[in-house]
Amino acid sequence: MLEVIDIHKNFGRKKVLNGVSFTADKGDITCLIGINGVGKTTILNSIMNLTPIKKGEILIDGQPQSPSMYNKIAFIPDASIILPGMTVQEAIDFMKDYYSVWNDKRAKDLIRFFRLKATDKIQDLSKGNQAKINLLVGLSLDVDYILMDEPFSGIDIFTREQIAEVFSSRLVEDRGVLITTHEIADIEHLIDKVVLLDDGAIIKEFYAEEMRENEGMSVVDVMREAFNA
Amino acid sequence: MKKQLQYFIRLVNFEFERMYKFLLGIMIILILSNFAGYIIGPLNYVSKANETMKLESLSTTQYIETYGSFSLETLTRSLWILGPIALGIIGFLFYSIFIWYREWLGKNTFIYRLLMLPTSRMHIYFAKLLIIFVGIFSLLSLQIISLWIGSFIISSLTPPEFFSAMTVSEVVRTGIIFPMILPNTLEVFLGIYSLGLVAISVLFTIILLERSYRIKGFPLGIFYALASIGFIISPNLVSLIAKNNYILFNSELIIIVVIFALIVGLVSLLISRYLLKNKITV
Amino acid sequence: MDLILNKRDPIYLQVIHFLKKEIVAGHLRPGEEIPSRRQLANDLKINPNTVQRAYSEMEAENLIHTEPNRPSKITEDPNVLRQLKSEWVNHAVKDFVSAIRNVDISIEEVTELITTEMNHTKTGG
Repeated sequence: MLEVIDIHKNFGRKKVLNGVSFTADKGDITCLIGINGVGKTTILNSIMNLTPIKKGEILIDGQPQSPSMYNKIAFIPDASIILPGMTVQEAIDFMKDYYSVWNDKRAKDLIRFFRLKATDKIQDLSKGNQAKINLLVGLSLDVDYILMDEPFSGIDIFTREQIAEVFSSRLVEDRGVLITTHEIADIEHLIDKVVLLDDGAIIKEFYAEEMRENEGMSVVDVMREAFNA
Repeated sequence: MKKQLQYFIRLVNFEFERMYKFLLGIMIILILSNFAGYIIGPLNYVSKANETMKLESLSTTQYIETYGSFSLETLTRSLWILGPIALGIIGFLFYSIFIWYREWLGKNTFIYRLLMLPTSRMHIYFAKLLIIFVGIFSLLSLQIISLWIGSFIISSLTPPEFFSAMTVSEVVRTGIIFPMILPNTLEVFLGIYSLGLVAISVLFTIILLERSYRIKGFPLGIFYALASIGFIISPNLVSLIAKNNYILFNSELIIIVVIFALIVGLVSLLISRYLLKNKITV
Repeated sequence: MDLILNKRDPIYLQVIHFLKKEIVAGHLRPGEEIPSRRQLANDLKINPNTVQRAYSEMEAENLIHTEPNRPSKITEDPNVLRQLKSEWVNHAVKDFVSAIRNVDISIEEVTELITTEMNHTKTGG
């Protein structure tokens, strides 16, 4: 389980996170949604210890953060994080060198699935394909948790479809997935748990299917109510 | 432990591959400039000598007495040799800054990947530090080899009557820049390069402070650097304050300065480790 | 799979409903293998956990059977199938009746309309 406990964060004077707490379980697809402002990316960055937090605690299966957690959690940010001069194969080799949990077979499968070529240079790829490289690199790690930041933003519809397919595939099976988005439509039927973030705080945390069953409300219905939109 | 060492070696190798083109560029400039000097230097000297001898009607011996003979050492005072060395020093100073900032540069924020490697972040730090010294020493070795080859070229291009033969080690001992970058005693060599190492560790600290606290970190870094310099040179002030030049022997002074520098290096390392572990931000 | 999901009903119920319809209609035959939960999740673009839940419920109703490490199969028990069919028709009839309750029409006329409609559908309308 990923536990985010009462984390606070300021950018200068501006409070970005103001006591955020939630959990994301293994086997669940948890979706962090905020319709306005920053905060989502900051939360993911804090979980990965890529930005310091002012106050609060982050636990991964009960353990505090440490370098070994990177063999347990993979992060797929909304930015290209492989050197542009590398080819797909070089990126894969780089990962293989450092991660004991690298799954080379899965990487090969993903190249096929995303219809990429191992010899392609990253900098020559379209934005959609660069996003796929990020996914490939993250998903080929045999980790327990995967964090994805806005996997659907600024990407063409066909790539979106391919990425959405990832969520219902063996690739994320039994893992805990935490994704951020401001657009729920693509994945409404795919997610288990929804965490709504507004003004640096969690305003609602619920299971989508329970909400449909007990309240007859769609995720968007709940959002509309919660955000007062 | 073995695995960690492996990661470190891979990181060093990775940094080397990224530095390769930069290093090669400086090396090519050094070779081209040096070799141009080895050829143009003697030719210029001889033509100038002939001209002066004609004008002032001097004999060869008289000319050499007045203007000096030509040797490899003469050439090391020229821009052909000094230029590339200066370029190397400035280049590596710049590279020490660039080696960090490029991870954040542009849309490809490789810092994410580096910070998410399942290994101590100090490995990244040490790999960067080490690779700068690998680069510097590669250039230095190339310079020595170049001088050695140059000594043959010069001796064959300079008429024997004007030429005074010097070995490379003699040249290195007497030039203006070489006693600084290649001291001939081990103690001084280690002293100078440990000072260099400390200087780069302070520079890294400034960079990491800026990367951790952004604009606020920069003055903090400058303050740290000034404090470090003050601390390192403070033993020199002892005799000033005591108004007694004999309170410390020179050799003692140097040892104290080096020890103080090493303390600064250690502190820089600890600060950097703390920043990389707890404060750095993508 | 021709299933368009709505956003407000629980997805697992929509999946169960869909599979029952396929069984009643004879598109899924007794003893036939049904898609793995992974496959169905992929086809419908839904969460595999949700399909798992739907399958579990259907197993509890004896509509499907799963042997260890084998794909799930539609039951071959005629009683279960008969009951499903009659439940389905009963449900449809109830809906139909409640929809026309207030319409002034005789049972004979309704029967005739149903007969015509059913023949029409069968001959490929």
